[in-house]
Amino acid sequence: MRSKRHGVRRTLWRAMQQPVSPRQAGMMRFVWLLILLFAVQIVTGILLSLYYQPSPESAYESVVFILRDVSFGWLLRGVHYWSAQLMIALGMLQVIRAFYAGMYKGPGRIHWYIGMLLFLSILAFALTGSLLAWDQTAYWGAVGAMEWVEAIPVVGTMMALVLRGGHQVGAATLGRFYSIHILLLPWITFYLLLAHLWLQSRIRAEQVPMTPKEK
Amino acid sequence: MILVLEPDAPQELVESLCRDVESLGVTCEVSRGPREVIIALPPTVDSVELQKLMEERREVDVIPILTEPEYVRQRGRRKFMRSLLAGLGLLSGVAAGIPVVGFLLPPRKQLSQPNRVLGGRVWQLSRNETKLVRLRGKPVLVINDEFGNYHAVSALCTHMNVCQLEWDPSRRLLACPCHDGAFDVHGNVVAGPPPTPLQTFEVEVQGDEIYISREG
Ligand code: HEM
Ligand code: FES
Repeated sequence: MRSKRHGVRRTLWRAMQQPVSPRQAGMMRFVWLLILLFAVQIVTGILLSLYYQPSPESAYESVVFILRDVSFGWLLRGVHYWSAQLMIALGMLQVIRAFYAGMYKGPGRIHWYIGMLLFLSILAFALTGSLLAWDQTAYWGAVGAMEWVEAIPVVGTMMALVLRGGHQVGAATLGRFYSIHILLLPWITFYLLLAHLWLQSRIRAEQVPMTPKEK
Repeated sequence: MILVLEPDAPQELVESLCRDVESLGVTCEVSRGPREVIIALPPTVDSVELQKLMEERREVDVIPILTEPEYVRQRGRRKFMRSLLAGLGLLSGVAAGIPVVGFLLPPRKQLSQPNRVLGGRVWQLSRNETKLVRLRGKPVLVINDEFGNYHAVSALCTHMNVCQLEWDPSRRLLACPCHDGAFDVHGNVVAGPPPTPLQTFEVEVQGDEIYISREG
């Protein structure tokens, strides 16, 4: 346990200390910005979970309670919401950028795969988070998203059943989405980010894709 | 100015680099170490030209070396920037901390929410029509039925506590858009999956004003 922790810290420290060549700098700025937003999400998310109640009877009311009665509740919920939107926007830009840089090929393409997994986990955060408010918009959003999951060939039907906890979006879905949102995804995302940084710290200059100007 | 290469840089690469550099009219001094290969250049080299040359070579990082006055100036600037950053960091830490502390303090539980609201005016609601109002944050439907009697029931379907009921004037029922649940004007379930009746509220008509209230 101790040595693992040490590994985490060392990876972060290395990634922060390492000089970055101008070619990598643009990419890394985005990655650090995403990490910052993720940290904001963790802080505001943990705070929101103090008052949020993931049951159909009280979910909506607990959100209204946060907005109206808890001091600065409106602010923390707003920050959680907008920072989520920003993460999605940044993630998309990063994917587009990595695509045009040709990151999906060559010896550095492991970055592309990890980056795509990271982007997917951001989307999964947004999907599971947006059901939590448990109003009509949230409900129909989840119904639509689950139909979309069902459309995946072969495994879709089962995936939708597991995610929904039944044939319809209901109390079980709310519980599952909540648990995924605050327990599962944060750790997955954390380790993906760590892997991203760790790989970054051992990348060699010639593996960084060329910018169009250099070509 | 020095050029830094990977420790296993091939000799041909180093030689071709030296040729490039010498084309700028300076001598090229190579030193091979265990962690990198360094090519040292005299400070007289034209750094702009050199950068331009090296941009075409993806294997090389160009690291400028400063003269002493430049270094002293930069160190002063760094010190200033560092204290500026620390100050700003402290300031924003406090600014972010205030809302967090406020959030953590136990809220004054819902204080001033009335148990009675004006649900509308008689002339706003003809027979076989409904109006949506909010009582303590929850949606409530005020119904004027086909006989001119007023009712008030919760507008949230009891099946999932999320879908909002709508008045169906032809069936004279409250219909749920989610799974076809239906309730009558008294809140009783008449169709579909909802397990329990709707919460009902008192209705009082005073002059042309309709008031909705709940006990407690
Ligand atoms: C790591 C920690 C996180 C925790 C503990 C957490 C916790 C929560 C909680 C308790 C809620 C319900 C409150 C509400 O609906 O306002 C929520 C909502 C939400 N979360 Fe998170 N969250 C985390 C990270 C994220 C991330 C990374 C995203 C990114 C995309 C995200 C996106 C959302 C969205 C879109 C909502 C709905 C907001 C709304 O309805 O206003 N969350 N989160
Ligand atoms: S939520 Fe109304 S019938 Fe299911």
